[in-house]
Amino acid sequence: MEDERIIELYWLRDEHAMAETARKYGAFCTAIAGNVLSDRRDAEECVNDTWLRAWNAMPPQRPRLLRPFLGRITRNLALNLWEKNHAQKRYAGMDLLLDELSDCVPSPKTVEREMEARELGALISAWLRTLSADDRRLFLRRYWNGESLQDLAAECRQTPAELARRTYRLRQALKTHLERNGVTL
Amino acid sequence: MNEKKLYDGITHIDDDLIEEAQSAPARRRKSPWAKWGAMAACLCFVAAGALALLLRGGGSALPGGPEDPITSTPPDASPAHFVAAQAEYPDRAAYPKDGEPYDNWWDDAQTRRDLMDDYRGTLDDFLTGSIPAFLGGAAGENKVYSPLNVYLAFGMLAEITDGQSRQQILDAMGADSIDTLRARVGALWNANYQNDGITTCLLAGSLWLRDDMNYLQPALDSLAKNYYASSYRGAMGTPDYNAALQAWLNEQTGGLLKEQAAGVELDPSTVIALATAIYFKAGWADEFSKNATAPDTFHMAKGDVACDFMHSTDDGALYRGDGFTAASKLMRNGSAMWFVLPDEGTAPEALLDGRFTQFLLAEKDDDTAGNYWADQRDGLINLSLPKFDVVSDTDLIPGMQALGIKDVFDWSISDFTPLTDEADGLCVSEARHAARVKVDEEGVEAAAYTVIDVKATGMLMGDEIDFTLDRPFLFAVTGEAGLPLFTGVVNRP
Repeated sequence: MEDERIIELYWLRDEHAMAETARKYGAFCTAIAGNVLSDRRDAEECVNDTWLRAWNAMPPQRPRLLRPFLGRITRNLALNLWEKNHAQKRYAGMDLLLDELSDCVPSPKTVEREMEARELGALISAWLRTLSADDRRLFLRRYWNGESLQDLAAECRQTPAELARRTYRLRQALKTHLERNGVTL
Repeated sequence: MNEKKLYDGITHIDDDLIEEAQSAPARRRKSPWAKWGAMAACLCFVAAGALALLLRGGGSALPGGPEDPITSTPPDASPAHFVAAQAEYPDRAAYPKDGEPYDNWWDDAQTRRDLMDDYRGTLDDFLTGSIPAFLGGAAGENKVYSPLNVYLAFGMLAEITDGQSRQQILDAMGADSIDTLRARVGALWNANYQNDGITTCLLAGSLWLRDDMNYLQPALDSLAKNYYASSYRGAMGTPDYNAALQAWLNEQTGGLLKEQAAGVELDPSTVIALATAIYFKAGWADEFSKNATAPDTFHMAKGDVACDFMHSTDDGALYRGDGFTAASKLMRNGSAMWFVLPDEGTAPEALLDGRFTQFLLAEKDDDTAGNYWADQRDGLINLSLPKFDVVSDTDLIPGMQALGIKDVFDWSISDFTPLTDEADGLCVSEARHAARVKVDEEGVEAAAYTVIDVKATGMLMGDEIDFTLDRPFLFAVTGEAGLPLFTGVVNRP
C-alpha cells in the first residue's frame, strides 16, 4: 500500500493503519531496533511501541515519507530502552526511581532537546551532501540504520578492517565539520 | 552524554538521505581514483548566456513558452533528480499593478542602484580586457558575449582554485583578493537579479559533482552562498546526468540556446562542472511600430542581404567617436541597448582595439565625470535597425589564456586544492560560452502601438538625425546598473 494511503488510514483513525504499517515496515524497524539493542525481546518491544507512537503521532502529523518517520521513532525508543536497561544493570534502584520520576518532569526540556537534535540533524545532512554517494550510504547504514561493519563489509565487498578505516575517516571529517560550525556537544 | 546528542542529531538526518541509503547497496566501486592520476582527470567548466529582447504585452513571443516543451525531459534525467542542494534566490518587489503605490518597487530598485554605485568602475579592467578577448575573431560571423555571465563563471573558478591558478583569475578580473571578488559578486547579483514582472534578468549558477567523490565543504559553501549555485550529484558522463545538465541550461536560458546546449556533454573523467546562466528580457521604453518595419538592404563585408528594418524615432543623443557613431535605445526600468556603427570601410572588430569598451564605460550624460563623452548631439533619432537574432558558441580558452589565465589549463601546475583532496592533476579542459541576442517584434504589435502613440504626442524638439545600421555593427545591452550584460557583433543580421 502506498505511504499516502496508509497515512490517510491513520488520519481516519482506522486501525488497519497499524497492520499495514507493520506489514510494510516491520522488517525495517525490527532491523534497526535489533542493530541498536542486540536483544530480540527488547527489539520486539521497541517495534511494537513504534506502531503505537505512530498511531498517536498521526494526526496531527502528516509525514511525507513513512520510512524515515518510523525509523526515527524506532531509533528514539531504542535509545530510551537502552538507557533504561543500561541503568538497571548498574544502579538499578536509583535509576529506576529517577526514570519513573522523569515522567513528572514537564515537557519543555524534551522540546528543547528535540530542537537541538533537529539543528544538529540539518548540519549533519549538509555535511553528508558533500560526500560521495558511497560514503554517504556507508555513514547512514552504519550510524542511522545501525548495521554492523561485518554485514556492511559483505555488501560492499570490502573487509571489515577496510570499512573500519573508512568509517574512522568519516567520523573524523564529521568532527571537523561540527567543530568548524561551532557545535559543542 | 555527548554521544546521545549526536545519536539524536543523526536521527534527524534529512529524509531524502535516509531514503537514498536504503534504496541502494553501500557498494564501493573498485578504487575509482587509482586510475585517475594517470587519466589526468579534467575539470570541465560550462558557461551559458542568453538574452531575448522581447517587447512587453503578448507573452507568446517568449521562447520556451508553453508550446515549447523544454520541460519534457524524462524524470530520471531532470535536474531535480540529481539535486544535492538548492540555492535560495533573493526576493524582488513586484512592479505595481494599476492603482497600487510604487513605493516598495521603487525603494527596491533604488537600493539595488545604490548598491552598485559603491562598485562602479570596479569591473572596468575586466570589461576592457575580456570584451576584445571574447568578441574578437568573428571573421565575418556574428558573435555574442555576456561579460556578466563570464565574470560569474570566472569567479566560481577562482573559488575552487588556489595559489597561482587563483591569482591569475583574480588578476584577469581586476580583483586584489578573493574577498574583494566575493563582495563584488554579491553586489552584482543583487544589482542585476530582477524579476519584478516588467524586467527579467535571471542569474543562475550550478555545480555538477560526481557521486563517487568527496569534495571540500568550504569551497562548496562559498559557491552556494556567494554565487547562489545549486549543486547536483550524479554518475559523471552518463546520458541521464548529461541530459540533466542540458535541461538545467535550457531552463535557465529560457530555451534560447537549445541547439548549443545539446552539444554540452561531460566526460566520465570530469571532476566538477561549473555552470552559470543568465536570462534577460525587457521591453523597449518606446516600442518599434510594427507598421514601420520594412525590408531593406544590409551591406555585409562581402555582399548584400535583404532583411526587415525596424524604425523608431526617439528623443536621444548621437555620439561620435574615433571611427564610429553610436546611439542607444532605452528599455523599461533603465536598461538600454547601445548600437555602435563603425565608419564605412571599418570592420566592427577594428573597434575592439579599446575604442568600443572605452565608449561603453564612459559616462555619457554626466559632464561632471572625468570621462564625459564630448562629441554628442542631442536630437530626435530616426533609428533604423535590422531585426536580428544572433547566436554564437565560443571557445573561451584562447581568450582566457590571452587574459593571463594559464595555470588552470595545465594539470602539472594547476592548483585546485580548495575543491578536493582526492584527486591530483586537475585542469580546465573545456570552457564554452554560448550566447544569443534576439531583437524581435512578435506578439507586441498592440503594446507597441500604444507606447509609440504616447511618445508621438510627446516632446518634439531638436534636430532630426538619421541613424541607420545597414552595415556590420557592434552592440551592448546594459542592465539597470549600467553594466554591459551582453555585447556583440552583427555581421549578418
